Amino acid sequence: MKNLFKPLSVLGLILAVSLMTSGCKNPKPGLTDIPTTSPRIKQVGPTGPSQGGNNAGKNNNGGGIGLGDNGGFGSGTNLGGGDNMTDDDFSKLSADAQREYFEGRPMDREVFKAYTVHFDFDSSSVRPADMGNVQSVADYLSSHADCALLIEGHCDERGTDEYNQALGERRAQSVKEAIANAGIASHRVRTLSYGESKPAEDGTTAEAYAKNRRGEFVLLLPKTEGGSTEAIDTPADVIE
Amino acid sequence: MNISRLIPTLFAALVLAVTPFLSLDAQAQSSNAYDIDRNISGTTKPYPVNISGLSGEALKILQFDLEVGGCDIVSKDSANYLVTASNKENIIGKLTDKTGSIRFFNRSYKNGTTRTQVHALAADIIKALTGADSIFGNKIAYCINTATDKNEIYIADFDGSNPHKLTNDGSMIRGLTWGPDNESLFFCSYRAGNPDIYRQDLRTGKRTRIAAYLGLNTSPAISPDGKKIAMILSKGGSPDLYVANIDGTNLKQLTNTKGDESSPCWSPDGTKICFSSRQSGASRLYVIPAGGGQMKQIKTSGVGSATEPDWSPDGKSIAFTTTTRHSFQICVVPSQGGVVEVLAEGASPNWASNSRTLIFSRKSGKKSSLVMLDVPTKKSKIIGSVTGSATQPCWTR
Repeated sequence: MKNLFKPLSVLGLILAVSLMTSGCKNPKPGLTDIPTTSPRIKQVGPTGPSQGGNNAGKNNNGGGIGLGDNGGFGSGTNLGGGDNMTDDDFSKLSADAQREYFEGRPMDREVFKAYTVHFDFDSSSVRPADMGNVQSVADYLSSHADCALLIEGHCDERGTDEYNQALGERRAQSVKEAIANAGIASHRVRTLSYGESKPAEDGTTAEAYAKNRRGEFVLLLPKTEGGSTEAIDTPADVIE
Repeated sequence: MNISRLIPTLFAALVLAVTPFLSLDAQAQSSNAYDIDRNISGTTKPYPVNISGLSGEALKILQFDLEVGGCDIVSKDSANYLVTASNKENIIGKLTDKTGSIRFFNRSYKNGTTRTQVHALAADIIKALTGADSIFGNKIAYCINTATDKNEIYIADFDGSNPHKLTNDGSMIRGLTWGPDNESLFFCSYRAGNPDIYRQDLRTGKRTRIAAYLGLNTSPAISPDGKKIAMILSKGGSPDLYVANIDGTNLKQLTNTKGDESSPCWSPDGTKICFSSRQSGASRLYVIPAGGGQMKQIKTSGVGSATEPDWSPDGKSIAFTTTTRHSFQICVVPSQGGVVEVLAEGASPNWASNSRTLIFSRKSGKKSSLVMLDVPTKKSKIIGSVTGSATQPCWTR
């Protein structure tokens, strides 16, 4: 009996540890639990290039900034890492291993849908009005330590293809810097430029262009290896 | 002292060296003298040519080639040059001046197809009129869009005939360029969920990953000796210029700006790389030593933005795209910088091996067409045989 249990125990130990460190609960398709896990977000109105609600969202956030986040600074060197890795550790990994960290993670495109940030023409600077959105996403990540983030950079069509590819990447990187400034280890954030190829809105109006110059947040959930769903149900008290 | 004594000798040597050429081309030179106007910027009028004796497909091909080469196809009355040709067994062609008294050549073309024979005749005509080497045997690679965010690579003859689909990625391709000896293509593809640089061997079809770091890996540019690759990577936190061995190893970062770099291209001697950067806030052209050093801006007086540079094979000019309020315009500037000449509407310019024909794409509504432009005459020609929305054209080198 004992011999039979031993491998299971080891497995249980690993699972228990991973459960403890995991901020992300069972990844559910279409996960939209931001309001309950991150109260601050509940009040935030998404900012947009042509929305009157910009200021409301900004003000709500302004009040919140500095409460939860700074509290985390004293907790250790691995602030916001969630993977027992520092940015420095990560930078020493091979290019393939760095890619491996992100690849295979299920994506949730819905969670942060309302938190897309927008850019001025030909600019890659995050607008002050969008800092609330950035902060909200950072808050979510700091409370969901096993999750990672994908930032997609987009442009309007008034630039040449390769230029837009670079500009979209620069935009995504600017947002990544802002997320890092909000306390999230930057190795948890991946950037991807689509240039002008995926417009949010068709058309050649100033409004359409403004909507298309954007950075979108995509939540990257913990990897679900084959069979792990069943294993999670194993009681933790299997440990000897 | 020594030099002044040498001058007469040098002059004599020069005359001797040039004489054989003169005997061959003297007639062409003298005929050029009366019908070619050159304005201050060096623009040449298109060569008015009449074609007789051909019909059907052969005529169409010859007209297309000559127009690409800088000719206007005109009636006999308006022509300064006459092409008299026939297509019985083989193509036979003769080029004379309008009086018929100056004969440039009279040749028959054997082997190959009618198409290749007409291309050979066209090449001889263009060589006689402009001195330019043939590009009619070159191929082009380009992308056909299947959606706004999806495209595939094609290879065709320079005039769009014999198209051949190379990829089936169902994803997005950017920065398409030919590899050494035209035996491969290098490009950025999103097919692995990230913009990565690949080399695809054209004989074996085998694809090799060259750069696949987190973030952007794009705009590969192969050095003239085929040994190095310049590219744009964002692994350092911003899209910067890097150089590596052609297989991606021995990576070296050349720029480290806060802005983003894009679209590198090599000087023909391989010592410098030109690229676009938004370092100063607006996009401008810069040159940097290929081994590393200070980046130096190239003056592009007269236009706002400057992206997508391409260095002419003779080293003299850089073609690029400027973005205006409502359109993209193809421009050229001397490679050391200076006053820009705006040539035509379009984007993504690429020089042919003759340093005079540019190929680029031009968008009209949702559709993008491929256009060739003879820079000295500004004569342009849409490649109508390429169906679908085509972008990123580039010539074999």
